[in-house]
Amino acid sequence: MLAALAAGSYGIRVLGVTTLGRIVEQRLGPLVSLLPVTLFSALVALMTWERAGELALDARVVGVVAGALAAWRRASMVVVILVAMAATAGFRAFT
Amino acid sequence: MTRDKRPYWRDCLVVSLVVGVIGVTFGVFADAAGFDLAQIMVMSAFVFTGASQFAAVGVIDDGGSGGAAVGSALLLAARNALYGPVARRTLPAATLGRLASAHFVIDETTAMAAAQHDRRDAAGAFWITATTLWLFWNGGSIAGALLGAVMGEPETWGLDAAFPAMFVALLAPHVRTAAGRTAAAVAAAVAFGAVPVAASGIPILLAVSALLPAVFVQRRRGSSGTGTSEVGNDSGVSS
Repeated sequence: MLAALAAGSYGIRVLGVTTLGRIVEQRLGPLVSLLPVTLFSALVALMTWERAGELALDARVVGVVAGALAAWRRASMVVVILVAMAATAGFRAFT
Repeated sequence: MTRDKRPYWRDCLVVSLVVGVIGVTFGVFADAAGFDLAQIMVMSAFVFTGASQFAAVGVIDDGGSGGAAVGSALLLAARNALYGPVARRTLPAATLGRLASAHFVIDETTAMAAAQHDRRDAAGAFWITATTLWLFWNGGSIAGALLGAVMGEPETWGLDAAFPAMFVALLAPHVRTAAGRTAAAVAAAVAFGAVPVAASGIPILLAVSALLPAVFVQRRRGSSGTGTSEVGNDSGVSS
């Protein structure tokens, strides 16, 4: 199982930087520069709202919103992360 | 913009540190699910994708088959293929170099590279994150497996908010343009809407459709927004 997992996940990444990457590059051209914001925004949404394949509204949302406010105020990444953790932990402690 | 003058290597280390702590929780989780130290080490070193590793161990822990574990893990790893086109810009051009560096194309390295303003910084950010994150992730996994539940319930101190918040910080330079904001908003909405109906790993792939409205916005603005940056961000462009 571990061998299949390692080979599969490496294969996916190789595909991305070779054949698939080249095709996407050719099709999208300069629009590849919009790909990171698209993928990472979706990732944030999933990590904030998803739990075990379902949407779940919990203390993570409080932390991520607090972190986003800190980022908007141009706080450094350490501060953004600490604010988010503190807000989530605080919310959990008081509810 | 003061934010952009900060040396990027500090953020790389912060990212790796957070991932290292999550690595400890992975070690604890895998240990509790019955994996031995060697298996945990092999997984963290060679699978090297946090979400997939958690998914695989979770399936086994729930009594699922090895096939089901690999399936759900690889579905979550599928997004790494989409990071390829972004990472290609910072990876070595030679085939062998590309094949060797492909192992390190993951959420964090791609996001760190894409948050930089030029190709050199992007490559620097990619490799500093790749090496330190690999070491911390593996070190964390080993520590977690050996020490067991040393950290208590990581959720009581909000660790599950640290990871998304990290990516929020990395999104900041991308949402300064109208097209970037459109892509971000639509992608989040698509992913959100897809969760109840699609298997884990699929929603983020569907979110790529957000490129369409983003392109529309970019064109309507008569934008000089495309092609100004070589490393995947438009932060130099005013909208």
